[in-house]
Amino acid sequence: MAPRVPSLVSGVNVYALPLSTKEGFVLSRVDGSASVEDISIMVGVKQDELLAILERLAELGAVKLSWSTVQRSVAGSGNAARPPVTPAKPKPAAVPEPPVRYDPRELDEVAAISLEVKKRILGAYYSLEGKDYYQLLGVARDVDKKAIRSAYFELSRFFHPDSQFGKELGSFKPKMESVFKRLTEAYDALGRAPRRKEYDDYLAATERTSVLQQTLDQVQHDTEMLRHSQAPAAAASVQSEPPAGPEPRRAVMPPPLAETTPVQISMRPPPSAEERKAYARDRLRRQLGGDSKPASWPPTAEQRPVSSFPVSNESSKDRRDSAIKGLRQSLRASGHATGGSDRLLAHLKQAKDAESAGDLLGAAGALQSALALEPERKEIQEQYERVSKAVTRSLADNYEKQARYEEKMGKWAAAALSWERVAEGRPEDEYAAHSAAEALLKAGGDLHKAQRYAQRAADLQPSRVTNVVLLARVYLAAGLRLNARRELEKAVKLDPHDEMISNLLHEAR
Amino acid sequence: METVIGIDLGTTNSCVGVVEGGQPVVIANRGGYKTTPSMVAITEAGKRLVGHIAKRQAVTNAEHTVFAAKRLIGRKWDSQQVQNAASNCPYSIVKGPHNDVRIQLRGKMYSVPEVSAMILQEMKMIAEDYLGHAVEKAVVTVPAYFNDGQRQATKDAGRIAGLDVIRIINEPTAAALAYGFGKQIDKTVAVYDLGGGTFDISILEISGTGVFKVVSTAGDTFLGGEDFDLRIIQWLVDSFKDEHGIDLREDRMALQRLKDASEKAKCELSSVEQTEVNLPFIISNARNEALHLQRVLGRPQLEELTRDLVERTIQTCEQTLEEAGLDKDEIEDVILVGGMTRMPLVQHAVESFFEREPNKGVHPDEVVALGAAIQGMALTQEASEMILLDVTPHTLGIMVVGGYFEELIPLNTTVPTSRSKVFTTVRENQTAVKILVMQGESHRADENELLGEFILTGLRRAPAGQVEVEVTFEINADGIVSVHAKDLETGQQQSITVTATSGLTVDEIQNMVTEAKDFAVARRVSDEVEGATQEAEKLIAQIEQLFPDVEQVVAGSDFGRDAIEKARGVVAKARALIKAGKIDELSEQIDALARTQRMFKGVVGKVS
Ligand SMILES: Nc1ncnc2c1ncn2[C@@H]1O[C@H](COP(=O)(O)OP(=O)(O)OP(=O)(O)O)[C@@H](O)[C@H]1O
Ligand SMILES: [Mg+2]
Repeated sequence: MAPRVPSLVSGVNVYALPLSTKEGFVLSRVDGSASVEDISIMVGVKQDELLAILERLAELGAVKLSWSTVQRSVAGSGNAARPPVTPAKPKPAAVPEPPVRYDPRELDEVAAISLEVKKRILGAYYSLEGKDYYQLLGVARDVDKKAIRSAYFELSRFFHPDSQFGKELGSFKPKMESVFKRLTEAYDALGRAPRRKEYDDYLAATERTSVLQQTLDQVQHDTEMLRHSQAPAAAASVQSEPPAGPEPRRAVMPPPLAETTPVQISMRPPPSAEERKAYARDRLRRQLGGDSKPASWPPTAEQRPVSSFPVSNESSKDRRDSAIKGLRQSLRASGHATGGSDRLLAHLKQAKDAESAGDLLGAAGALQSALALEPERKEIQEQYERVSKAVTRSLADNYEKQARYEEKMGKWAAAALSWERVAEGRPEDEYAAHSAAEALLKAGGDLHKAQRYAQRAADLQPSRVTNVVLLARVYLAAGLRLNARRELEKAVKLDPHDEMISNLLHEAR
Repeated sequence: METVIGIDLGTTNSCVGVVEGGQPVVIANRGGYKTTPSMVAITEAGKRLVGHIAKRQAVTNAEHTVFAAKRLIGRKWDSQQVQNAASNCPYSIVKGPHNDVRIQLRGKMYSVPEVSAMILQEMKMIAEDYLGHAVEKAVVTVPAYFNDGQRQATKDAGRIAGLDVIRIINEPTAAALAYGFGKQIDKTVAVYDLGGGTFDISILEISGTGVFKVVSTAGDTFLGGEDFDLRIIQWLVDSFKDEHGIDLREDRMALQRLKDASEKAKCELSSVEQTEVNLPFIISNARNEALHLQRVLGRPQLEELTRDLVERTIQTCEQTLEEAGLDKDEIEDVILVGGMTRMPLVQHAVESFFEREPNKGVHPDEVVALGAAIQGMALTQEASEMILLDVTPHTLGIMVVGGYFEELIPLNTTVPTSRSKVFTTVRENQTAVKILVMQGESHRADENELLGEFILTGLRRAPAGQVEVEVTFEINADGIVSVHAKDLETGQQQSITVTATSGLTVDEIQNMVTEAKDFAVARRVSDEVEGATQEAEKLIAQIEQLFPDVEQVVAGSDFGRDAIEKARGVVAKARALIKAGKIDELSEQIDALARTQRMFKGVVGKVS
């Protein structure tokens, strides 16, 4: 059988396509020379699934296939990593899409409202997740204030429970309330020009970071894959199962904090690490939603529906553009898995060019490819470290913007995530570390992490009393009084007159 | 279809409306007035009087006539406001069994909701007389800045009066509903409501399609016309003291006369530049000589006395605009509500603050009741397209360690809403947490209002901070607050719905409901005609009894002879009206009789 080689259709604006991360990733590997088998190795997707993705890409007019397709469902099996919303066709944002996502049996519940009303309530309720505020109100991003207001008003008129006053509504009432609350949240953010600007900036920042983050993740993932394919045994690994797409990266719970003296033994054994992890995850999810129903806030990289692309910001678009191009080239070169010093040199040159053009991601990608060829070379390793640090740093700036907005909106769990990323990108930034710890504390998040960041802030600026107090508060929250006391005593020395410190100290004793 | 009436239960005046054939109308009482004084009295004979008739006899029966009960409703006995009111009131305010406020009238204790219920019952009857059938449901308005306790107490009052209060809405919101009803208005408006007892400011967005969204609201539940009156009283008392060395406040009857005269002067100065306060025989001196109070009050002077009160309202306007995230120039119309907005100083202050002339199209006394009726219709009629999106006027939260207040739902949040936060234990092996549900704007818990409390028990024994409890606050569309706490480890839950905070127990309310019903029956058979006749006859008898004494005291002066001549005329006319059964005119004449009797009593009382 002739090799099946997909190729790109020229002149297509790929950024306007409603693609999932994975689909975008696949698209970036299509170059007219890589075969389905090659791409399968490169992106770590099984051939079945890959074919489905390619067919969808062909449907959207982004790629041409050199073989004829059989009719098959795009949303085939093994598709768990796909984001929840994947409309078959790009749609204007102003049209709310009503795919049935609820159990039809829910319509049978007795309530004094018509079937149509029930359907509309359930439809809205089950599609709250992953929508940004514009999508919630069903308006395009550039509409004026009046349009936002009337959209909100029209939706409220339906979803406010008073519209069905005095009727027996059963579980439809809390559902209406949930929808109404989200609509109101959206309107509160968009209804006033200054707040809307803040949200727009925030949205732009999340989109930039999510594009950058995805690309970065892909670069790293690529290298992994290439390393595998370098190993002789890996030639056969087409059949073995590569991981399906980038793993959502979860922080691993570190061992419990050590108290300087033994902790009093509790009556019941503390929950196992597994339980705690599950709980922490669950809580995080809940907090992201800020609601009884786990809804997504903010629209994060994983949850963000692809329809919110294209990214309006030119520079990030350019960056992504060149990053993908660089990757494509480097992968084309190494995809054939025949080593050679000319290729290595080409990667290194490309990295240099990219870096001097300010395209850090491109540089990182090229260096990764180089590393894949010569994993042992120290100087390449060092270069790569340097460049990828710079990438993280530039990401950190965006995350900081995000974090500040989230903080302002009181979305502490989301702010904690963003601050953590800032702190990772800027390990020497005392303020970021402090903010990360503070946000974690406020969100009721992982106290081990909070401790680490608070400690870092205190190490960076030991004379700043707020850092010391924060660390103490984290210890107090974790029930580690001795440690808290130790820190508070330091704090008292720094500022003997602060009432709050003495209050806390009192609590710690 | 069921009728829902709208009641504006005001500090000084109440008003009732209904939507008839799609049009909201205000219903006049039997005397032909569209507003009814929010006054309740118990006569010597134990008879209950409500409205105009209660107002008329206030001076002669000051100790047993309640006015401005709204200033006390839902408040704690030991609050500053109640203590202030207690010292300024001719009727006696005492402490109730739950640190609530009770009013003692003729030896019997009444809760404040019970007193308000008497007014609501009167309004209900006015509506029933007009409609010709019984009414059970009502929308009742409260100042926007009322807290949960005050709202609950108002609901209780409704229940005692035999009304199903289907919704409590805010007065400025109601005004906006009436303003925008049936019009294609698409605007952001401010409602400035300065009534007898409270001040409210609300910003609303109104769509031409019948959606009304409150954006922000603020106010002062202890700032209103009464405070303006108090300033005048203070001024009169001070100047009288300077002149005669006598403190008029010590005399209850004098105080009530001062109050009447001050309010009258204030209202007059809204249309004239200058007025005279004339209170003959107000008190007698140590030598038993009758003293008169005569003062000229000019508008500029009144403005001087009350300027700071008006300024306070403007500051609140500023604050609420800021809360709304709006600039002044984004306000497209300003609606004035409440009797006090007739005062030119108030109108000017509002106009210069908002930089636009206030709307003149609404009736400041009636618009709130109309809005309440409209909301009643909107809720109960399937075809209605109207919807009101209201906000919570105060911050809700719980008390945390150290006596601090932790916010859960901030003020001006659109309801229905809900918010959650995770809290931890503070002590080692702490197996229970107490959740104190509070409302207010202070970061110190003890400065806020306690709405309720409950305990979540059975927590795992663990070091401090390890057990986490998630607290969720919820406010539903009916404004009912419920709070639940959940142990995140075991999933165990506890919750309360904040309801019985009006200081009355369920049993007490039940008893009051029964009692009020009995009374309603009694009141219906004894007609107003009869009431007025009795009232007039009683006054005439008292006046005639006093004639000889008065003649003796004042015969020497021209002023006295004049007064006696007039008095005879008043009595003669009243007699004629009783004979002719002219109830409306008789009601007017009772005012004159009461004035005469008051004056006579003053003269004789001071001398003998
Ligand atoms: N022409 C006027 N000039 C000045 N003040 C007036 C005038 N007419 C009425 N008032 C004052 O308005 C107040 C009553 O207003 P209104 O009837 O709106 O109050 P309310 O609804 O009873 O009180 P609230 O709304 O505060 O509970 C009284 O203090 C009265 O003296
Ligand atoms: Mg009023």
